[in-house]
Amino acid sequence: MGSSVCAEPLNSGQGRVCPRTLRRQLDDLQAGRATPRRTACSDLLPFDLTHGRLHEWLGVQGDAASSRQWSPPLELLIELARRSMMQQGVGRVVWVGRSVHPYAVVLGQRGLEACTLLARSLFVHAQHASERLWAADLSLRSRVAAVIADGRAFDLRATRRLQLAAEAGGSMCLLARPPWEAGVLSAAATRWMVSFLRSPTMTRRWSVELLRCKGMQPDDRARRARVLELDRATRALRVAPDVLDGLGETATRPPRRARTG
Amino acid sequence: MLLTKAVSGREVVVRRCAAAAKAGVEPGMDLAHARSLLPARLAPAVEPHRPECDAAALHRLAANALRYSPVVAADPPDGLFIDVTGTERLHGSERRLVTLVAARFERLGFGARIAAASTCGCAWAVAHFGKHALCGVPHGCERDGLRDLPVAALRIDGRTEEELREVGLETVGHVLNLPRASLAARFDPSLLRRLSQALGEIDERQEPVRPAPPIRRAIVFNGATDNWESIHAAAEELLAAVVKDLEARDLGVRRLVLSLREEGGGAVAASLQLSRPTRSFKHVWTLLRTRLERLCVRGGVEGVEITAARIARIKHEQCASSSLGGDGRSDERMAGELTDTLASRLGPDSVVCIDPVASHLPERAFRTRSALEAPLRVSAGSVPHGRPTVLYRRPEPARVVSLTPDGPILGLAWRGERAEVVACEGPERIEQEWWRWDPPGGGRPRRTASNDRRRPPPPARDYYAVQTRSGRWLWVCRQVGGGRWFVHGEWC
Repeated sequence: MGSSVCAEPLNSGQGRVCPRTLRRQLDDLQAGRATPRRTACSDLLPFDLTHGRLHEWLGVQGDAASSRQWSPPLELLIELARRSMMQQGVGRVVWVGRSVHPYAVVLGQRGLEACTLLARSLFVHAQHASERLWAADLSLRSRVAAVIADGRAFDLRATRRLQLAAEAGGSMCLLARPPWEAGVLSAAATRWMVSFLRSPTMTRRWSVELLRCKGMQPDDRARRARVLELDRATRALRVAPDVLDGLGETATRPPRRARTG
Repeated sequence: MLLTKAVSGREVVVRRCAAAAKAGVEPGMDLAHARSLLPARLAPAVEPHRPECDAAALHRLAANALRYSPVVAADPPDGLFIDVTGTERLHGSERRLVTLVAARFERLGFGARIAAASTCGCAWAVAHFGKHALCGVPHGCERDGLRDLPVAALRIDGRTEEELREVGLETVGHVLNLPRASLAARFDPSLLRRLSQALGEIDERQEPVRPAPPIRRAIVFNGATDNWESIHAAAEELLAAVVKDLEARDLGVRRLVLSLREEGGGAVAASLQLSRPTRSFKHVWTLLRTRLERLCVRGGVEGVEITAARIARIKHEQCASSSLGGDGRSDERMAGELTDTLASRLGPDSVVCIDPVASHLPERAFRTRSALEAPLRVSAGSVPHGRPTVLYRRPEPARVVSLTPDGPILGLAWRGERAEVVACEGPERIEQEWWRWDPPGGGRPRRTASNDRRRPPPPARDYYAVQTRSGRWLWVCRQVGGGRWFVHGEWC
């Protein structure tokens, strides 16, 4: 698909595609260029996520409004990594930065019996942003299924480097960032905000909201936050069944237009 | 444990362990008969007998015994000849050498009968049929050593042995008393040859094992140099030669040692460990070059040496060829190279894999190992339900508000923040692993005694999942009896 970053098929009707992107897609189709692979997740998110792209996930802040503590949205990232791994056959998943390392028992429960997410995972301990960036860049170029990285203090140049590495290796990069970095410029294809939701049914619930999507202007339906919950029986994420269409209230802030990339 | 083979439709015991031998199981016995002899509590592990595996293991053991002598020969199915002529002095004495060999074999898990004698035949006879597991026959006393042993000790075939028994010749002493001419006329010629070999009258040659020479390449400079470009070039050339050697033997390297010989006799070395066997020059040189640059050399360098310290066979994999759009590298190989490069810069302990462990304690349900090490064969037990997404490295102390000690939690103060609790699940009691501690009243001492064992076990824990007003779910625990609260994980 060249350098276009549209995350959605042409005729899905979930958003209005920019004319320039549409032209590139048509050119690609006419030239017979391969369509990039996608991780099928339209049951959870408004559209499937494209491989070879950088996707940013703003995590959840602590309980107090002034808190500088945050939690990366790991439950969702684990689910996306699992789907990406299964789609690539038996791809590998690299977790860069200690704050995005999930509890091993949970990873052992995901995937097939002989090939769990835990068995295909590589964990990298890197404290400094430069080390995390280098490790994520190298992993993305090594054709792994997905790289989940702690993206604290990554600037525009760092995200651009990761985007290029993801394109080169065809891997999916999922970058977890603290919520107060929502205003930092980034070269990511999509940016999502995840927050906790209280549930009347004692389940773990999150709301996932699309903040930005390069190359596409999402319509109202795509901009509305999705309500996801952890199914107790299957231990998998799903759209909350008691919420109409799984959609929460409309996103409060307007989506930022892409300024870079 | 029994090893069996199928003989005309029957399973026949070929080898048996010491416990089975004690119960009366003999080679050649039917498997059903052997099972009936064994007591009910000894359920034997029965596996097919594979002689080729035995031969390979014996060969490896012979290569291992090369530390005692340069001439070691395998004597199938279960023997080794070690020619210790002249080397016993290095170990003190022959007697001490025999003890050393026995101790080493025991550490390797083998029970061994060892005899030292001046001829192979005499040593073989005494080792197989002597009264003691370890013994030595002094030079010149071979006749006395052999005299009381049965005729089978002469390494003769079964038919000759039978013929000797028929005429009442039971021991080697009986055979020795007869004139040699009559033996040659009446029995197989191999009897006379074996007898002469045992007595040292004729020579006996064994085919020694010859392990493949280690892959090592070295360059000695014409005088000491401190020019790094020369040293780099020499190392690069040596690595190319090592890779060529590996290709010739169809092997890959797991650990490579580069050493620089310093002026004045010293040497500095850098070791490079790899996650999987490889012989990719580009990959190894990228890693080795950074190691070489980090080496601290005082004075000039007289020579460079590269040794493949650990080699292994390369598992061949199918990969996309360059004509089909691939770059000729399989995904597994790329993953191995990624691991090596990450570990080379960040350190081997910073790139890890995690194996599941069968334990119900949350912090013991997994084991971390460096990605450069081979995976452990661990079996995870049943995976518990309802575990959080993140487990903190150490439980973090918290203060909890509740109406009753066992009642639902109403509020939580943790990490300097207060949170109102709106929902609470639990408790789930997780007991300690009682078998890891000694019983309080002393009792039977356990096999491994450590200071940790003697301490009282930590108290059990009650775990609750609580939801704060913001919707966040935390995994909170309380020490039973102590009343201290901790936050141990969260769902995020």
